[in-house]
Amino acid sequence: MLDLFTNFLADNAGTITQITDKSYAYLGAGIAMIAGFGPAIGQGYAAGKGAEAVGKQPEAVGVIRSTMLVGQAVAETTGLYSLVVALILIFVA
Amino acid sequence: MLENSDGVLYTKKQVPSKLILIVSIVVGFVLVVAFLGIIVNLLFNYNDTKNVFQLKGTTDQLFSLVPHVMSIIIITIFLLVFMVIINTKIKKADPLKKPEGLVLAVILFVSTIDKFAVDMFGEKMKSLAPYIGYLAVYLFSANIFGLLGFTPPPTSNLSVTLSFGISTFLIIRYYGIKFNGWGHLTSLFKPFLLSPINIIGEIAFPFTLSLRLFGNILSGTLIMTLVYTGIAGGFNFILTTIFGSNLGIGELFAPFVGVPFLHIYFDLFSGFIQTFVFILLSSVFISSAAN
Amino acid sequence: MAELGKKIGDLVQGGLFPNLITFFTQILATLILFYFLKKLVWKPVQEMLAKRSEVIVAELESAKAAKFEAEAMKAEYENDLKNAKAEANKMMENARIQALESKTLIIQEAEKEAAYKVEKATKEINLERDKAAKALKAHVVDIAFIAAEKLVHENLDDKKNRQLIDKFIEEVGE
Repeated sequence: MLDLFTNFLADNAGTITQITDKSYAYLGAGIAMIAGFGPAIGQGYAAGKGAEAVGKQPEAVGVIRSTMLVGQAVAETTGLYSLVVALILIFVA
Repeated sequence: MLENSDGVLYTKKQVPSKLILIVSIVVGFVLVVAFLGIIVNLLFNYNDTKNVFQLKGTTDQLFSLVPHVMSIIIITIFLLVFMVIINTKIKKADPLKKPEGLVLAVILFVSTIDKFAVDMFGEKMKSLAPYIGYLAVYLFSANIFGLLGFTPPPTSNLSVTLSFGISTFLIIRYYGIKFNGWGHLTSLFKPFLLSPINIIGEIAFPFTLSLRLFGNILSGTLIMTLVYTGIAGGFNFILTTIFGSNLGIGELFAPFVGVPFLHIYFDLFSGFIQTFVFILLSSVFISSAAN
Repeated sequence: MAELGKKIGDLVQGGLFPNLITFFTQILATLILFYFLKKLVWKPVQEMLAKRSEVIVAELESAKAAKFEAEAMKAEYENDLKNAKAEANKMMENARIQALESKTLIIQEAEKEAAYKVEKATKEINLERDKAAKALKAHVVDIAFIAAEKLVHENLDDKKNRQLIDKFIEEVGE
């Protein structure tokens, strides 16, 4: 995959001005942010289960909402790790 | 009516107490800013190339002054003033009467946190309730600090959140050793093959705790910055095409295109949820280590 | 675009890089705020709550004592009332018994009196009858005398005859 990309860059070296380590870092940052789909699925699943639970027990809506929000906030962590990795790649690497 | 040394009665001059309060707050603020400025000038050099204040005698970024420090100082002063006001109000309040207003809110807050601490840790660790209360107050005010718009919120700095993570980690270890003795440490090596994983898991805890808070608040701040810059750029472009010159007032249009709702979500809602999650996870880990 | 990059770069570089000054400032702020929160807010509020609960407990105790006292008084009153009722019942019973007694007494007396009166009357009647019988007898004797005198025209030995006739009349009377 990376070979293909480098070959493509090498083929078009005339048009693309410069390939540095920074380019790969930006690419890596973009790839790192793919992790964002994991928390999205997890949070959506939690929200769906929460809705189901409210349907089953409408009287416990307060507890269900707070539990769901806390669970979602914890599930969000992996997405934040990917964000941090992406930021490190952009600004540090 | 008061009596002076000559035995003559005179009336004490009535000065509006609110005016005194406002003047003293302004004077105090100016004095604090001047004091901080003097300290910064004594301790730091301004680095032109990096555009940061650098501690004298160092070149590393580890010792540079970031704007978050200013946020920390502002919040600390604000909370201290608030605490003194609360203290005087509580001292003045009659304990036998029905509490009202601020006193009622403070009493409700304190009793809620106390109840939470007792539910979570039991009666023996009730002394931790002020720490939980401090986390709640400080983290919430730090998370919503972005609303004011001077400097970035302190919790969008990894060093700040890491200090909270480390203090929570130290409390966990302290209570673990206090209530379980050396068994608390030896339990890490219980299945000996798994001991590296256990140790890494224990050490990773303060980092995950602080990274979660940091990432949330930083992402909120970043998105708000993107939105503000985008709106400013877009309106500046439109104004330039209409009037022919860049007036540079694009950011003034931000409140009219839904930015307040983003602030409600990213600052208030997210800040509250992250405060709650931080407190809940800290308490769960402390109580599981102690019991 | 460069401006945006610089803004975000400042935010991220200020926040993401480990920074000892920020770290120790935060630790210091934590210590100060924790100490003052504990001293200025937590302690007074807990003292206030303790005072409140103390007062409430004392008031509850006094209310409990008052309730206890009132209950004792109520019981006493109820007891008194019960006693009074019982006494009244007893008095009524006594009165009834007394009345009954006096009634029987009166009846007895009346009966006695009646019986006495009847007896007296009977006696009187008997007496009168006897008297009447005697008188009648005497009359009869007289009449017989007269009749006999007239019949016989003879002056009989008065005394001896009278005895004889008396005897005769007695026999007849029987």
